[in-house]
Amino acid sequence: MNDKKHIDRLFQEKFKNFEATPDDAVWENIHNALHKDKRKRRVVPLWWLAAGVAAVLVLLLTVGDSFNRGDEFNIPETQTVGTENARSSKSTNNIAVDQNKKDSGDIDSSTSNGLVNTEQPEITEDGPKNDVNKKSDNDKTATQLVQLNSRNNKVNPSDAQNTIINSEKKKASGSIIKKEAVAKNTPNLPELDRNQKTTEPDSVGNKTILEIEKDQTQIAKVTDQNISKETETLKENKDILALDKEEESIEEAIAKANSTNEKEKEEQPNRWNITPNVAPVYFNSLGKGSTISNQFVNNSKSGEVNMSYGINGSYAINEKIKIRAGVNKVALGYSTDGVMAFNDINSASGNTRNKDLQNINFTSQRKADAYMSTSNINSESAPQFMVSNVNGALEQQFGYIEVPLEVEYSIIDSKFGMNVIGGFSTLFLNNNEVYTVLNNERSLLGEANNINSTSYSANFGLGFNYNISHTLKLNLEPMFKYQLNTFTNTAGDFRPYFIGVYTGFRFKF
Amino acid sequence: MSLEQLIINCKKNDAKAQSQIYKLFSGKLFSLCLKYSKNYAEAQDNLQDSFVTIFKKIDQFSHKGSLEGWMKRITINTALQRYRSVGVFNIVNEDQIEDVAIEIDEDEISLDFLLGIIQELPDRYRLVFNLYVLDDYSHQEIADMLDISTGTSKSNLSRARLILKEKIEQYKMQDHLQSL
Repeated sequence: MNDKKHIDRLFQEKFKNFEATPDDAVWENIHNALHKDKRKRRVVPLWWLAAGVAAVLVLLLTVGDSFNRGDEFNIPETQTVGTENARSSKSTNNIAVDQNKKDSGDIDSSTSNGLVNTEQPEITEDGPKNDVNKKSDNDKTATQLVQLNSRNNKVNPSDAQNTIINSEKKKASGSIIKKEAVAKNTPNLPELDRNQKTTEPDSVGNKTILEIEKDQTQIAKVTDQNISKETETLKENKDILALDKEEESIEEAIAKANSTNEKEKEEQPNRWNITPNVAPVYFNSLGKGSTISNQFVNNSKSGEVNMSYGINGSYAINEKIKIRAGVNKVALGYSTDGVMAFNDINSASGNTRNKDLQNINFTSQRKADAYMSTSNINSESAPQFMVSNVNGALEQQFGYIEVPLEVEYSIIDSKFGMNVIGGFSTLFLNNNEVYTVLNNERSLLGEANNINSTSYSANFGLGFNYNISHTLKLNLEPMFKYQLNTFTNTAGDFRPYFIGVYTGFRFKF
Repeated sequence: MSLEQLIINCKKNDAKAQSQIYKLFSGKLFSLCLKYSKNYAEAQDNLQDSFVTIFKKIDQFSHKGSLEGWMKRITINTALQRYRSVGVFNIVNEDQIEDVAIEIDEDEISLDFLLGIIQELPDRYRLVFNLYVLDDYSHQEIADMLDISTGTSKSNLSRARLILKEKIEQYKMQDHLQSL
């Protein structure tokens, strides 16, 4: 039975057919590492989209809320975690662990030193084990290095969090032993009891305390019940601390959590763009008609060039397709030519006037004015005073906050790029004025009552861009926006649209 | 599907073929990782990194040797890489001790226990012991791989053997005491 054998042979024979089965998670990680591109395209955009929508909602709600509530402030809920670690028992430990999970970086809440004990790999035990400890009592700095590794957790290096905890504490039995434990662990409490197996001595220098360590490894079987017991010990230690200032460093723990996502971040392509833009916009109507009054249907109209400016953000779903949304302020206007004005002093009631310009609410000062289209007047037969006032115009100005939601499809993507853009905008009316221009004098007449406060537009356009650098593009986008549901009660066939040439810089990030 | 076909498919980054290869070899390679790592979690990390490297570089596999041998080399290299980057190899001034043969009683010692004491060895002792005893590398090869001298390699091996012997004897002693 007792064959003499060279140690090499022993190991060689034992390990000859050694095979071990790794966790399934390993294969999943490998698979993900090799096929992440596909997954990203399918899964991540949805996630990002959802996140984007959520972010916008949160923003809107926050803004809306602050508008609605005025100066009513909610007192923010403050959460204090773990400062009284020693006093509160198990639950505090759990909170601290949760904090770890959330990548909260360095945890810095504490007992007396401003540092926290998230997990205590060691516990104190009364009974026979103390004998072992007493051996090292004379040297109060018996150092022990306990390395705990949870089997299942550290599967993916990027997911794993390594927490290093130094803890030094006193034995409850009164014997002073200063221990330093470096625990390498993922912050998963129930995993701890698996770990006792992997305790290992630091180096040759530790050989002398090998025996002690062995026993203390058994101590290191930490279970949940033990934690509350332990926190009691901690409390006790705290009391001792107050008495003994020299021993200030007895209770000390440092927890570090490495943030994990750096790797992933690096791999993310620049999918997000932000583009501040400015555009001259030209407004006009496709059909013949008037928004002001049916008498102006046949009058000539001229569109005005105004400005639009705003910002939009886009997200690249893939190399070809981007979706984008934004906020623009846009001003639009057009004027109706061939309008004559006269002071309607003879009219006793407002009836006639209202019929003339039924879509305008007059400002109070201008109630007495009346307007007619010159096309209704035969200049030869008309009274002289009428003819002399012929050269007027009505200028309608309105502005919107435009929220576009568009899709960009890239046709050319190199130094010079080109894409097709389609989508729609929601337009919120924020300016509405009608002016008269008579003898080159412009004055406010009133506001139109037939412009919907919310309307829409269908947008089409082409985008041209020029790559200045990897992260910066110069953008030029001629857009045609056909307005829907803008006016109610228009005369004739008034189909408004506007054209804008949007220019701006696009920043990638 | 033949191994040849699997390799061809793996070169196309075919997930099914990769899964097959993984199933065929993960057991062997994981045992290798366990020997070269100081614990289970680190071994899993090594296995994962090794397979990622294997599949990414499989088009460099030239069919000169066996696929298994090629994969093993990558795996060992991955394990060594971990310590290379940490810089443990630069510890100098090892006393040169003679290569001593150690004899121990063979008994019913479990594989788990032996694996455990290998993992408990200081990093370089563990690597040298594994490379020399279990994976048939020469001291010269080890010296090249770990960037140490052959003398250091030999001395590390002797120390590793000593530690292992002590632990086995300790274990047997306890076993013996318990049975009394």
